[in-house]
Amino acid sequence: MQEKFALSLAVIVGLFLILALYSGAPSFGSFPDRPLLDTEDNTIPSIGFPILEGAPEKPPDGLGVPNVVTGVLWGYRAYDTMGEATVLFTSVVGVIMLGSHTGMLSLCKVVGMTVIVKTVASLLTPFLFLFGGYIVLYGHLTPGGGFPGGVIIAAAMTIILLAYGVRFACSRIGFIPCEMGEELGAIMIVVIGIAGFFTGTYFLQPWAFFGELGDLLSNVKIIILNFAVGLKVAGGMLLIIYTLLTSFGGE
Amino acid sequence: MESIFLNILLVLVFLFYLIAVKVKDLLYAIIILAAGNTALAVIFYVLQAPDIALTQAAVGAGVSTVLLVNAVNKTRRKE
Repeated sequence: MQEKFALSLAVIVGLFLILALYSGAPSFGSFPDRPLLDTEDNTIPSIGFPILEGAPEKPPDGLGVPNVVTGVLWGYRAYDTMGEATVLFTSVVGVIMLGSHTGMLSLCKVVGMTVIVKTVASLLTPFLFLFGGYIVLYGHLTPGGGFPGGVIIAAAMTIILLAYGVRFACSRIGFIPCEMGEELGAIMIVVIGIAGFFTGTYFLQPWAFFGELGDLLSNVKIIILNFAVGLKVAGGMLLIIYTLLTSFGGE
Repeated sequence: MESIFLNILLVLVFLFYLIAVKVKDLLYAIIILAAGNTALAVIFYVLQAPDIALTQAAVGAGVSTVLLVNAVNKTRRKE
């Protein structure tokens, strides 16, 4: 009885969501082509939702960012990013407090998978690290940014961890570099914010423009901010995974 | 055409999450949950939010799977 009630409730909610999607939004064939990077006239066509009619059509002049959401979120509302970084920092500190990792690493068995998995992992992970670094460093021009890039780097390290075991992974990137990356990222975000004072703007507001839109160095502040967030997210995720794997006994 | 594609994806996400709730073996549930998260990432990409799609694919299919498998490993496998 209860299961049938829950199932019917889920079906009704799903149908409602699908109906709401099609009553409020235009059909997908009528969406205008929205190029990600239009360097010729520096505009982004509006996407057609009625709720976004008042949204700006192009990012503010001279920001060096092709996407209006990226420009606002990383340029003018970097407080949001700092808040997310604080949330991640707090959760990592909580996990490490719950499972203190001192001396637990030697208790772990050296467990690896078969040679097929090891070969595939060793062939795959360099490209994953490269892809994560690309997503972090080009976060102001292409989709992505600090958070997905950092998570991809952490996932690449997780593949090594699963294939070769925890002790091998900790001998390559251990606890101390992860903690240093986490704290260095947190410090870098605040330092970037304070550096805005010396360039004539406010805390975490955009500064340091070099080059035109489309260049790599079009907005150095967003690049440094993405790098800091990527470092912080990669370190934090790896710390959480390492701590959960090693602290509660065995592998 | 894109509408049909999106409808199929929406139904697929619904079915994946439903199976993930109903199945008794928690390890299978985690894998099906990762499949549902991947389909959700494709939906975000179709809806022209590639930023969110990247994050959803990396977190939903990568990191959360590892954490949940670790949690199942530390507790019981059967529900």
